[in-house]
Amino acid sequence: MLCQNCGEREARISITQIVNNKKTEIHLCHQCAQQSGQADSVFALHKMLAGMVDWGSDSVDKGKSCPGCGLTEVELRQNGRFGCGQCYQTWATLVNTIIGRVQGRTAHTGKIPRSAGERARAQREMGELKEKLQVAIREERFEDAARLRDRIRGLQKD
Amino acid sequence: MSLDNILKQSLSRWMTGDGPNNSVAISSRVRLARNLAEYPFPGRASPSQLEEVEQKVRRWWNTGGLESLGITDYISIKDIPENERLALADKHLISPKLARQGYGGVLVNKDESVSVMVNEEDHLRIQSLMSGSQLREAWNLASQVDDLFDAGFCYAWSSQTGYLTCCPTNVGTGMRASIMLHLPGLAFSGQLALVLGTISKVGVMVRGMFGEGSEAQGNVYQISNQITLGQREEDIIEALNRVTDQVICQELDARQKLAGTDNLALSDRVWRAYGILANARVITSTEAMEYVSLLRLGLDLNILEGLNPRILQELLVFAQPGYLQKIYNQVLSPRQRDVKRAELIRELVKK
Repeated sequence: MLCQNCGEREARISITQIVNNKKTEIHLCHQCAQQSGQADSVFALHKMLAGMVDWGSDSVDKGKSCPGCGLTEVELRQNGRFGCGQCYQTWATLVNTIIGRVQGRTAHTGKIPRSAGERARAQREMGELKEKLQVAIREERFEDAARLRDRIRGLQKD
Repeated sequence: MSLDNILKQSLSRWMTGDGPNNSVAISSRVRLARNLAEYPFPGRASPSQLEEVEQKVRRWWNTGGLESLGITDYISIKDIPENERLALADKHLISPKLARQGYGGVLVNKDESVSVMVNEEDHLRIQSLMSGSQLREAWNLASQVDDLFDAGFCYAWSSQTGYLTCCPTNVGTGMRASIMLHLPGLAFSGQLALVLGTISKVGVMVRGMFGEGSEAQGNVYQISNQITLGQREEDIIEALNRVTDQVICQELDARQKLAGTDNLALSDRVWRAYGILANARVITSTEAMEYVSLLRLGLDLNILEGLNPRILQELLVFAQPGYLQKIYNQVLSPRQRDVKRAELIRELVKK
């Protein structure tokens, strides 16, 4: 097997990472493994993470680059880093693969900035209410369900 | 100014050692990665774009948008000598990466509990640092600072992915919460590998004190969240708190057992460590941290008295190459550093 970081030398070292009970293994050659272990090689770690992603066999679109920052797919695959916020749209499919592998999940449930506006907050609340509604229905708490349904309707009107 | 005064003035709030669980927990830190929507991330921004981002941040601070933070100055990295940069990194106020790169800057408040790096890997790296185990408090403070910036800037954010960051390991909340723990009891009783191995299976990272890739010195370890996406910030903090509470309990337990089983052997080690620190003429940072760890354990277990337990935090910072050069105000070769370090430690231990 070839090293998943450089793709040139034979892989000799395996590194196992466990995220959310999901095990990922990467296989590295001596040189790349050494690099990733050095204090100075913050970059190497990201390369490793990039190496963890199973890029699949689809060919790289060499002509495409991000309109926001000019990042090419080759660069993204090499460094495992994005160039700007727009990259997340430009490489949407790839982004999902990378994030899924690195984080184990793909949907944000944390803080919402003011700049994202009221709509984002309403959307979040709506999603949460809908989930609660499902649970209430499943557990046959119909009075709660009715109340939740009314709140959802109220939000939809706004 | 006397050495004593210089050191006193150099103490960050987090170094005072008066936080909760302070016999094990040294400091708590929460860092938020944020980017401005209208610019490429620093790694792909042009020099003029980098400059614009810095100017924007400075203006926001100047016009009072950040007034409540008590920040006295914006420090541009290119305006300060290397010694100062390294010293800031030794105090964990900036990252080693920012200290090395030729651009960017940092806003630091008066007691150094808040620092905001500008144009590091992301446009903004908001950090709050506190003494002892105060992850929740650190998150609240960092989030307040975040709100102050949020009022003046438009962040790169999407409802699906959350805060967009340069590296996929930070995306979502953009939050890395970490706590620094002193674990000599687990180390000496041979349980460290087991405990740290176990907790690394539940989604936390364990590292040495200077972050990614750094080795543990003086039995000081950093525990932080691995996942930044798909969980609420508060839930990440709670999960981390549960894990660290466990580790703290086990550490205290291990210390009691150590003190109970062979007190003479332990106190011999502690006093020997004291002997070396009080007399050494040349000492490396690794060696110094090893003995200071023992000294601090001795203080926590009342084996020896009269020293300020803060000595551990002090040496975690002051015995580092950058800070030594700042204290003695000169560029020092590795050998000279070992000599100056020994001098500094003798001074600290004497008191």
